[in-house]
Amino acid sequence: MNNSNSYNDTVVRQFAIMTVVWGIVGMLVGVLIAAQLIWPQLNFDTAWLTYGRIRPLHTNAVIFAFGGSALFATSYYVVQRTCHVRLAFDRLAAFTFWGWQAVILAAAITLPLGITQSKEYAELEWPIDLLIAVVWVSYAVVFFATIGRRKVKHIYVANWFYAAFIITVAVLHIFNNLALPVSMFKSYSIYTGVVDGMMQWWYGHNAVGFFLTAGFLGMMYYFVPKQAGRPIYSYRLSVVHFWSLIAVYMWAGPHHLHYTSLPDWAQSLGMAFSIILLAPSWGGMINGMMTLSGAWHKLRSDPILKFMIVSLSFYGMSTFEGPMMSIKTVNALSHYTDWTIGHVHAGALGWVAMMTIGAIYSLLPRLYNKESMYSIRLIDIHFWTSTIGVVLYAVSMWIAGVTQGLMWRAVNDDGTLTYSFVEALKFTYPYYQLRLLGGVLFLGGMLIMAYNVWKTVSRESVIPVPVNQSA
Amino acid sequence: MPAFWNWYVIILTVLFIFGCLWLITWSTQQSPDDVAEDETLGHKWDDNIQELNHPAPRWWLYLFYLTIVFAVGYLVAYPGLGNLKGTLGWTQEGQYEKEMQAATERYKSVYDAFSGKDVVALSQDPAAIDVGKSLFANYCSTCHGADARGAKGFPNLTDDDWLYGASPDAIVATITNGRNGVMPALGAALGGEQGLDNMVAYVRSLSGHEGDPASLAAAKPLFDSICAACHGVDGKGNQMLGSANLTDDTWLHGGSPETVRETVLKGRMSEMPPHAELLGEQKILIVAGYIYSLSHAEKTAN
Amino acid sequence: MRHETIEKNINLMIVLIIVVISVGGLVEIVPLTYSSDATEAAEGIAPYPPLRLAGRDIYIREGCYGCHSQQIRPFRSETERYGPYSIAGEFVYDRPFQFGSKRTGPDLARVGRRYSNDWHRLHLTDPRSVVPESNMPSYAWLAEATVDPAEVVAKMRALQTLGDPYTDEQISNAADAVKDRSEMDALIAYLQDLGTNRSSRR
Repeated sequence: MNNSNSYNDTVVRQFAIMTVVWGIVGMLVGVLIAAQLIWPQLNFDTAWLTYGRIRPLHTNAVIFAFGGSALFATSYYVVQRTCHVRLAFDRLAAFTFWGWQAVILAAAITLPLGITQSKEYAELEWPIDLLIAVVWVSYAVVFFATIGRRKVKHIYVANWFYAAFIITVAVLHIFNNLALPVSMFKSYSIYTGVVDGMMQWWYGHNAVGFFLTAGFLGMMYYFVPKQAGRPIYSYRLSVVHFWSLIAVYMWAGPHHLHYTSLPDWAQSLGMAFSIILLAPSWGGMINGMMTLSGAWHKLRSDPILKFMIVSLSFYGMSTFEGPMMSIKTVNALSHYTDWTIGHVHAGALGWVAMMTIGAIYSLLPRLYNKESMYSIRLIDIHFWTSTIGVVLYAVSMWIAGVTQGLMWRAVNDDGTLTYSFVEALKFTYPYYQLRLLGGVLFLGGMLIMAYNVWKTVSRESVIPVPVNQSA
Repeated sequence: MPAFWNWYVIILTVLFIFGCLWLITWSTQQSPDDVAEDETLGHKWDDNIQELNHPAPRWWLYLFYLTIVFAVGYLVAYPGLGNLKGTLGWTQEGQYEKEMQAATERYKSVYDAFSGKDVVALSQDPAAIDVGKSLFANYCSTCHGADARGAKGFPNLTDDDWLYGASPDAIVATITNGRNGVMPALGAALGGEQGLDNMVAYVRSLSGHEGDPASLAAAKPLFDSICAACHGVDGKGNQMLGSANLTDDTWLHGGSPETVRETVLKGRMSEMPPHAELLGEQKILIVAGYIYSLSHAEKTAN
Repeated sequence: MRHETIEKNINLMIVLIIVVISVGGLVEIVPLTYSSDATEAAEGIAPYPPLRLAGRDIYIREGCYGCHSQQIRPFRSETERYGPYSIAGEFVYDRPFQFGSKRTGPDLARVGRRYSNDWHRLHLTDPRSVVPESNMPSYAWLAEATVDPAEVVAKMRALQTLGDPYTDEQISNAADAVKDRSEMDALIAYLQDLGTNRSSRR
């Protein structure tokens, strides 16, 4: 078969496998730092394993290595399938794979060494930032060139979301990381204080909004209808929620800086638009849920669909919780507490990871000429393990966070503070243990997945899939 | 904010909100007129991916409008549009001032009841002890421990051993101005390892620990000439200087031969930061009363 | 215009995406850089002296912001616990800012001079020796590592380039100020100065 007549699934396979690998690595580091918060000795007296250095390793690994690989894999797959054309520029696509792995490797080395800019989710120092920029531009070139070569007139909605994600992440990355290098491993931000804080949370919130939301909505818009065998519920809804989501998200950053020294006006704008963000976010959940709603009967036999429905439920829950936490009076209680950690993980494990897992289970057999994964039963076990894991995680952090907030502000009848800081920490320990259990369960599920993936792909020869000829 | 930027924020924000409203109405008209709700738009991707043409659920549209109405109302009432103050005149500093004012009024009676009382009287007043205890938990316990029993280098406040004196005035002075306890490094002055060992044995012997008589005899003249300046010839210390009593077997930094040796060899810097600004006069008296009560529990009970 | 037009034209779609995602940042960030409240130093705030600068970069390297905020909010419960609430002018030489987002440990915005140097030394070496319930890691190795004077000078030059008002004299004296000081000395020097620009009276 002529090369251009088949899809480029090599790069998709590479990213799909690495999604599972980095998922396990990132969550393993997460489990370690969760344990360190209970037993601080677990850094074994080495600087490289201290909480402060490997917490960024955890966040970067799960967001950019696990989530990033999943987005590369699925966007490359989806853009070919929905444009009916082979991915543009094979060698550039291969470069994005190896370049992205190099970024991850560089992160895994530099973060434990304490080489960091200290801006959350933008910790990597300037040489790595430059590499990220190069890889990202290449990614954009491959993706948009493929769309440019499409054989169908209409660009499918999944690609709108992937497109917005790719463009916006580039903009966010460049502006937040502008810095003057001092040496290879140290730079200073060109912004200071409050301006830097605003810039960072404009970036930080939209790393969530675009990397972990828009990109994964792209994934959802392909894999949910595909797996359910149902058409997307509403085209009109997808139009309005797409444009409103990407436009409104960009305003929500200041809710990370409520009641700080950021001027009142910026805080208020952040809160007002965070509230508006509820509807655009729920638009995606509704479209996904209603698409699945014609296929309830399949839920009994297809655990992949279960992953997707639970993922959409967590998406709906987190995108309700988010606007609620951005209300200043709620934020006054929740900010700085473990409630935020619970919220993030309801989104990151519940929505992002569950959607990724569903998509990978759906994708892998197609990439290796198989009808289905090695074991459907194991997918089902994975589903229950991770669902229980997320619930334990979120519930323990809600209780811990709300109580911390209440203990910090409690005053006696005489106006003195009721609790010293450390008393709130003491209260939290049992919930840290429960959270650890939740995290271990979720990681355990990923190990089951790894075994299932291994059994599915090993000793399997790959046959190129011909390009869809209909236009 | 300069006038230009003020208008820039207002205009862009208002335009953006109108943009959102326009998007909602515009998008409802986005489908070929001849496609029914439960029919697909006719495009097909990857064999079976299609789109239906349902309108967005009505409740969802209402939710969208409602949040926009809320946001607009919020930006009218609160400061958000550039330099506009908002109709409520709210600021976070203003909210804080109000909260503080309310607290001052609310707790005034509690503190009025304590005014005019001295430390001893406060140490016998259960209400003052309660306040003192919470103040202690938040401002003192990090060093002196939740139970006030101290830690290595941080004095136990429940015993009868006081570096700077047990009088209420001394306690108040300690909290208000802090203390700087400096013991110089004396390793060099003692004539080598043997001299150091002898001195360690001598210092410990003051608290009744046994030592080799020859060592003690050798160290005594050195103690009298070097150490006695601060600790006194009898080793009982001097509360004017804050030098430790070495005869009561109570040790701030530890009484093992190794620790005493380290103290003599390298000296000690014991600092307590001043709390005058942080606590203010009245709260200092209350905390002092609580601390006083810890070592005078029996006496106050009587 | 119908949405179909955009759906069939990727270049148009790219342009429109860039337009709609730009507004939020343009409104919320750009005016801040022209607002004196956000960019003018508060009374008593100056660029970090060499040893504290070195300490600050150790604070950043060790990821202290992962558990400690430096931002006291204007609530009585916070000002009672930590001291006067933070204001924007106190952070104008902070590159990057260290507000933090989580308090597993207490806020540090005004920890300066609250505890003695010895307390910090003990606490950094073995946190549980002074706070038995603490879950902070031990940072004993900081006492062994020394600050590199040449690096501090290079950092001050870079900050001067970025506009922080260091004098050439300050920079030329910097190496001596940090010579032979341990990383722990530097970190403690940084912590002991945090928030001391104003009275701790609320």
